[in-house]
Amino acid sequence: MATFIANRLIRSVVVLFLVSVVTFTFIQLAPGGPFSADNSMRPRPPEIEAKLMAQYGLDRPPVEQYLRYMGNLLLKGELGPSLRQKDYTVNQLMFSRDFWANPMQTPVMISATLGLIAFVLAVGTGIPLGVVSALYRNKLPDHIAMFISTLGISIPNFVLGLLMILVFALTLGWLPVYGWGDSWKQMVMPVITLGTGGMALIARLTRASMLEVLGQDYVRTARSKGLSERVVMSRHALKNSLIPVVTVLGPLLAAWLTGTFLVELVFAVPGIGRFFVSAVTDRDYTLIMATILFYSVTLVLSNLAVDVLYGYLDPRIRFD
Amino acid sequence: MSHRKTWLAISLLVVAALTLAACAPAAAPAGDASAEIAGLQNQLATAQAAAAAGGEAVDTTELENQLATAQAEAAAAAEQAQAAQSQACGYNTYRLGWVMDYPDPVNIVNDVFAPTSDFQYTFWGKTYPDQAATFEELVNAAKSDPNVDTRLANYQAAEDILIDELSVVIPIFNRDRTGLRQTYVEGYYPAFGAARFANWDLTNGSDTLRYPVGAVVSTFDPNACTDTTCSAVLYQVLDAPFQYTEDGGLAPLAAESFEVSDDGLVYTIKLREGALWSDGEPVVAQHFVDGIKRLLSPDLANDYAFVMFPIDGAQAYNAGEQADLPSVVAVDDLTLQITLSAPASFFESLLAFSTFHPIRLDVIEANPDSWTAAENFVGNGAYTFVEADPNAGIKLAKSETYWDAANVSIANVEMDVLLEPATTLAAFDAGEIDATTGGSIPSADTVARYTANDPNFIRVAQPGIEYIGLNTSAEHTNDVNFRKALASATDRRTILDGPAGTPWRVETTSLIPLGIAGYREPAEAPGYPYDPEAAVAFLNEYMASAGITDASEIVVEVWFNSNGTNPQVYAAVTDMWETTLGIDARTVGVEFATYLDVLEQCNVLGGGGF
Repeated sequence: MATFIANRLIRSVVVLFLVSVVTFTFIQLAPGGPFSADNSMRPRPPEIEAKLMAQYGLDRPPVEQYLRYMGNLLLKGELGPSLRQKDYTVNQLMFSRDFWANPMQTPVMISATLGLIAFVLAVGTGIPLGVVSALYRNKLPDHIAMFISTLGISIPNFVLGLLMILVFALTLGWLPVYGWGDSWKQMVMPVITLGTGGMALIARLTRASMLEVLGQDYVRTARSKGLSERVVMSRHALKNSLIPVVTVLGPLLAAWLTGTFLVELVFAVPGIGRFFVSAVTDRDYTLIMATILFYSVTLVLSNLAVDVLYGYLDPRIRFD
Repeated sequence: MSHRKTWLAISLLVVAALTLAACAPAAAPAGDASAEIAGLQNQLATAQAAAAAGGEAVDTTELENQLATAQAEAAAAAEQAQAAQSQACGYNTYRLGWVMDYPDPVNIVNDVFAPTSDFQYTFWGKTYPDQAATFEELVNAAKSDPNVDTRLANYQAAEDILIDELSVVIPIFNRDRTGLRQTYVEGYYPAFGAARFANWDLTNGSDTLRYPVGAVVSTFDPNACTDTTCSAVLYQVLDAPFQYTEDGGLAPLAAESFEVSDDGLVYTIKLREGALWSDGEPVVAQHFVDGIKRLLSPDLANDYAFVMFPIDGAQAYNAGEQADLPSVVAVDDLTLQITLSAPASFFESLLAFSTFHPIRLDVIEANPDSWTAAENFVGNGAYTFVEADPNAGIKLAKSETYWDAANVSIANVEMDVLLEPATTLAAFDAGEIDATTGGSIPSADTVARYTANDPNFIRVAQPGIEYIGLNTSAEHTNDVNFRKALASATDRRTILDGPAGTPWRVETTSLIPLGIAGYREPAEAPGYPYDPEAAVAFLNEYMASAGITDASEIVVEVWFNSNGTNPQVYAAVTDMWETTLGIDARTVGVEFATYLDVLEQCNVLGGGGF
């Protein structure tokens, strides 16, 4: 097991290196630059643009820029200065100026909190919903559960978010429209909005996989041994049917932990989700690299966790 | 890892390294070529001189051949660049807007449309050198003219060249900002700078103003700030010598009065006695000198440096050609003196602008990397930072050391960052915010509130125009009659009422915007208002001169950045041009950063100047 994890980590380093090279290359190839417009979206005189490019070393050959960036990142943990929010380094934008002063209110942790709660909600409701559907296949509970999950998948969370604001904030007045960190009430709508799509996906996957497992020989064997239906379902059927579900959970967790653009936008949650989009439109090179590397690391780790879980769910899967 | 996998990994690494190396830009050929040619010419001249002096026969044929080859190569490269330019810069028209920085026509007529300006991509100076020379004479005469009437007349004459005579730009509408404000909020928005909440009141008994901003705050550094978002914050924590009044005049703020010398060159500003910074230090004239010098510092590349170029030597100081700026001095603690290179009547209006914000160099030196953080920032304004998170929000509290604290009725200001207009609107309707501007509500709702005369709907002056520029070096738009045809075929009212979704906006045919001295009412304005018959007449004239018999052969590329309602607006514009003129107009929507990059490249390649 330890060898397996070590091996995977070594290979991950190669993957991350390739990700950094490809990202850096695409950044170089994209037309436009971080300083082609000023902050009022006006074109900037070429002399000022050139001066700024030189200030940040962006006039150096790309290979040199890349090596310097990676050097700072690996040796000092520095992600470089933000090119658009000039008072801040990228580390400060993502982790705030003093992370330990109030860790839960830093952008990275705000996104992770929102993502994790939504993830727990999605898994906690999605799996039971899928199981109920499978057990009552083509009966009323199945239809209800599948109707809910179809809705969940097909309503974009942007629309769902605005609908919730309309109902719970404007019409009923129960919840505040936006914000994060002042009261638990602010968390309700973003978490539900984010979690619904995942919940629906998990429910459908669980149902399909569960139906397949229920038809397997070993389930029939377990039943014929006279085991109670509860034990058959939980120990034999459910556990085995979770393998495809767990496979999608890895990438889903990684995506949610690193912030979600639309949900954070609609509810003005100050996480890091917006950086994934604004960094690109602003051509904030250092921030683009940081967001993509951060996401890649999280994804690699989540997938590793999934692989480890496989072994627990299905002892036939060996790690060597 | 099996061998196959090892090989796979190695080959991927190699590919990666190659990709990285491939991004390295090719060595600049033009510069090298000209250096090579100059070198060869030198050698040749030396050899020939030696031959002439010594009478000794020297064979210069080889050198001559080398020189000829180098020159031919350089010519071919230049031709290639030219071809690339005309292909890449195939736009006939482009859209851009301009928001005035200060209330004087020079800021648009000259700063944007001068033949050598970096902000325009029509190449008109190159296409029409005679008119360009006249234009520059008019602008230069106006710039240093202390007489307001003749000054404006000269700017208008320069405007007429661009709009009437050459029609190189089609102005569309006067810009403004819209917003929402609860009826219990009282206070004004000046046309320039930003609203000062110290002048505002809340009549609902609350002592906290909730005023969200619609974008992340780019910077809290007053010398680097140019956009409305950072301005909205910084005007609360910093005071310029004066402030803008509701009707566009000046009222004392950090200063009590100012005087201008008879020749219009020397501005002497008397500061307010007893004013304190938020850390208790007295505000002195040197802090204003430091602010101006830091704005102009050659090391900082501040965008607003150009605003202060009327100051004597400012441009040279900014370019690093001059070590000091003796024209900006603190005569004593309360007297600031500024000398201009030529009289500039608009300079007065800058006394209330952010380029006059004072700076504390000692505070910056104490925390060079975090002096703009809430706990380190020191201001001389009515408010001081409690929290300053550019992505989450800003919290301000009344400054206890402020000289006029007794008259500041709003004790706290909360400026959350609300990027999504629909959320802003919902928060306003739910009563969670008191006021907002910047067009940060969805346009359909804005129209609905405007047409319903909603008492919460506000329009805020923001002098500036939106326009279509015409490429005078591209086919068809290189003809003045064709350009006039396009201008006359543009139904601005229909655009504003329909696809733009801004029926309250005022259409225009002139450059100098509404609200700026020199603006002319539609009846007297230069330019070509919507007139389909005139448009067809101009087109026929062009077709006759160019020998075109079928208008549908005329293809024009209409470029725009695909933000907001631009795609709908330019679909409507091309539709108008096609219906009225029978030409083939094609829209080309480009992502914003790419759009500016292309225009700028064209300017460099095609040469905006002479």
